[in-house]
Formats: sequence, structure tokens, C-alpha cells
Amino acid sequence: MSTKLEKTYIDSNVWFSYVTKGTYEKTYDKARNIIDGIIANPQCVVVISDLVILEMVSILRSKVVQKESFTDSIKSESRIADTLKSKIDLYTKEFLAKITESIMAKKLVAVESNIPTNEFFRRVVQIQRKTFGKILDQNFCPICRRPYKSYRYRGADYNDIQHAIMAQFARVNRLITFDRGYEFLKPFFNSTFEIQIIR
Amino acid sequence: MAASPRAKKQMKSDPTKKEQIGSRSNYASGAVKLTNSQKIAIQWRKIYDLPPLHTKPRHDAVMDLCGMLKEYADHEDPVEFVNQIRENLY
Repeated sequence: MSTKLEKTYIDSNVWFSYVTKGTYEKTYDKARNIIDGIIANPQCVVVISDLVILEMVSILRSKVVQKESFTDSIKSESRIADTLKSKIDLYTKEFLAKITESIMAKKLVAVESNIPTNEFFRRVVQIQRKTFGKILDQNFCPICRRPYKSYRYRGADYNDIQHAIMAQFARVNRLITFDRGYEFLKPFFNSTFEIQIIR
Repeated sequence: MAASPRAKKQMKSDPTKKEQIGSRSNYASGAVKLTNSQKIAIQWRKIYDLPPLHTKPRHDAVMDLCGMLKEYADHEDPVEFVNQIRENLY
């Protein structure tokens, strides 16, 4: 008797912590436990989409540059930019190597949506229109973590909605993320899969 | 590849035996059927200039080679066994 595999869609923020191995985030151990745990379990499979890959390439570029410690200005030391670019390239290739090797080993599945683009975005808009997150006080700078008073919006952005739609299309059992904005998407997807926000 | 006269003779003498030990057909697999997911993976590796991954035939070949080595280890006459492989390969 064949048992059905449990499918888990992993959000790009979990992949970012996993690939950068705690260099920029404290969540590496959690990310490693989640991803390696699923890969090691013969009853489970990781689900990924082109959207996750595209987002990962994009956030590796922006976050690595943003989170790297300042040493000297790029104007006076152009090699800094080259070093950062090499670092980003390395992480990007490590990420792609990891996921493609896992796909070949059938421990990871890449899904492609066959939903027409206009229909896909119509669904995104429908959910975006019906949800609004929370506006909160912010007492620190999100980059340097120093005290800084401002406001912030916590909610699901259009990328999160697209991930959730892809996860639904792939008929996953759960979606794992570190992003608390997904809390606002639960009412739209709870009937088909579980959104698990790791803290 | 055509079987050697000796191999043909052996096949004839033992009709229950479908393939010769170490015959190329034992480890050279046919065409690979990739899943959509694997096709996506191959495309991404090409985009980022990553070396191609070992696909199923090569993996099968390695598995078959391991099987052959085990047969070699268990064979009552290893020299004869190697000769049979050589005949089938060349």
C-alpha cells in the first residue's frame, strides 16, 4: 500500500536563513531543522516554485548588501562591491545547487502553475483587496536595530499571496515561513493547507 | 554489440539465463524519463552555469557496476568471471 507523501512549501525567508547559514539571521538552526528534517524524512517532500527561486535570487542580492558590515565607501574602495557580488553569486549557486540536487534525488518538487497569468493575478488582487494588516509602532531601526521611532505595517504583501496560491495549487499540506504577515492569509487558505509561522 | 561466440554458446546452453554476467545491456540503461520538476531543475542549472547533474542512466550504471562487483566477490572463479566480462565488453 502506498502512503501519501506530506508536502511542505518552504517560504523564501526560511531558504535565506538556510543558505546564508546564520551569517545575517539568528534563525539558521530553525531553518536547518525544518529543511533537513523534511529531506531526511522518507514520508515528506519539500515543495518549491519558480517564484521562491526568483525571490531568493532577489533577496540574496538586496539583503546580503544591506546586512554586510560597513568597512569603507564603494567610491574609495571599488573592490568592496566586487567582493559582495562574489559572495552573492556564491550563495545563489549554493542555493540552486542544493535545490536542484534535492529535486534530482526526488526529495524536493518544483511546481509550475498552469493557471493563466490574468487568472492568477485576479486571485492575488481578490485576496489583497479583502485583507489589510496592522499598523504598529516601531521603536528600532530594522537594519541596524538601534533605537529609532517610526511606524510599520505588518501584513501579507503580494508576494506572500502568490506563494500561498502556488502552495494551494501544489496541494501542499503546509506552508512554513518566518513571516508573521502570513497570519492575515490564514482565513483564505486554512481549509486547504496549514500556514505554520515559525517564531 | 554482438555477443561473442562463447557467450552465444553459453546462452544457448542455459536458456533460463537471460543475460550474460557483465553484459553491457546489464548496465547501459535506456532513455531517461524526467519529471517536470527535474526538467525545471535542469533549466535552472543551465541558467546559472552549474555543471549537469548525474542523470538516471549513469546512476543505474553505477548501481549495476556495484552489482557486478558483488557478483565478482561471490564468484567461485573470479578469473573466469573477469574473462566473461572482458569478452562481453570488448
